[in-house]
Amino acid sequence: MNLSRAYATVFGVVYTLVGVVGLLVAPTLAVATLIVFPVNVLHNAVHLLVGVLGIAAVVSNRTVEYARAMAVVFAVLTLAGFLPQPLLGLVPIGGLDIVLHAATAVLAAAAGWLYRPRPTVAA
Amino acid sequence: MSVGGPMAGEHGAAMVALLFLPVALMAGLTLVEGAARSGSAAAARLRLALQETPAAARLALLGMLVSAAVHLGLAPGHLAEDPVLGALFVLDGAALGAVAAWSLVRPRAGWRLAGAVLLLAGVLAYAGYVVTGAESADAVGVATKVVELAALGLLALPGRLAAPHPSRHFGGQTR
Repeated sequence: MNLSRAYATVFGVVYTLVGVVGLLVAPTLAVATLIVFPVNVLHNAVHLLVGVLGIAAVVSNRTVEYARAMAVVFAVLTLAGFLPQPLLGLVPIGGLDIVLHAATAVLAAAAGWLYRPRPTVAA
Repeated sequence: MSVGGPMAGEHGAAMVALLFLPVALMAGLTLVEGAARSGSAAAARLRLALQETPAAARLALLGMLVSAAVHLGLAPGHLAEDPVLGALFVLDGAALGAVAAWSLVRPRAGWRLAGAVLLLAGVLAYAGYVVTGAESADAVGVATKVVELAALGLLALPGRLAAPHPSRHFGGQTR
């Protein structure tokens, strides 16, 4: 199974949806709390960017690069979640976001490095 | 919930459920892949079923799982104030999840029809609630219905059109 393609498809579709809806409901820099997640317009814009890049990776067949990039980006975001929030006074990525970002990074690393698709053997 | 704008209170829970969906799905797929590579026959069968599912059908399944996550996320908030509607959300979410599982276990059976009926029923029910004023249309509700309609369209694609291109396959070599 091509996990990097599955990763880019799933995150691409769902995060695009989450980003669009998020921008509609939290369109300003003011930090709102979505049950357990702090969000604002920048946070939602990042969701949308992650989603659109995922769809672009699927279309351009560059899903391995996407998964690896997401592994690095979300690992950095996980660590940044431990800094004073909102980060740089702009983006809230603390609290339960840290868990979500860490899980996303681990799964991206598995898709990008650990479980690469095996070459198809011609009959 | 302190989110303002065009999202009813309980719908924040649906957004949270949606945020966890990709992680849960990818954790499941990663476990299946790992188990299949370790020699598990059941995992290998599941992986084969996924690989043999046409690309359009897989996207439709993702749309159904998005709808299931949203409805299951909505259920707890609605169960308190409208138990019937809350129970319907639970049933709809569970049924969509069950159809998605069915598509992998018995891919040649009528899962497409069952999925289409559930999706159509969800769209019509939402339209009925909005038209009668029982529910106000909001971003989460409208976005979910757009996804459900897209999934419905993908399910309706003829088999030949829905067949995957070998290089675009989850199981294919892309690099």
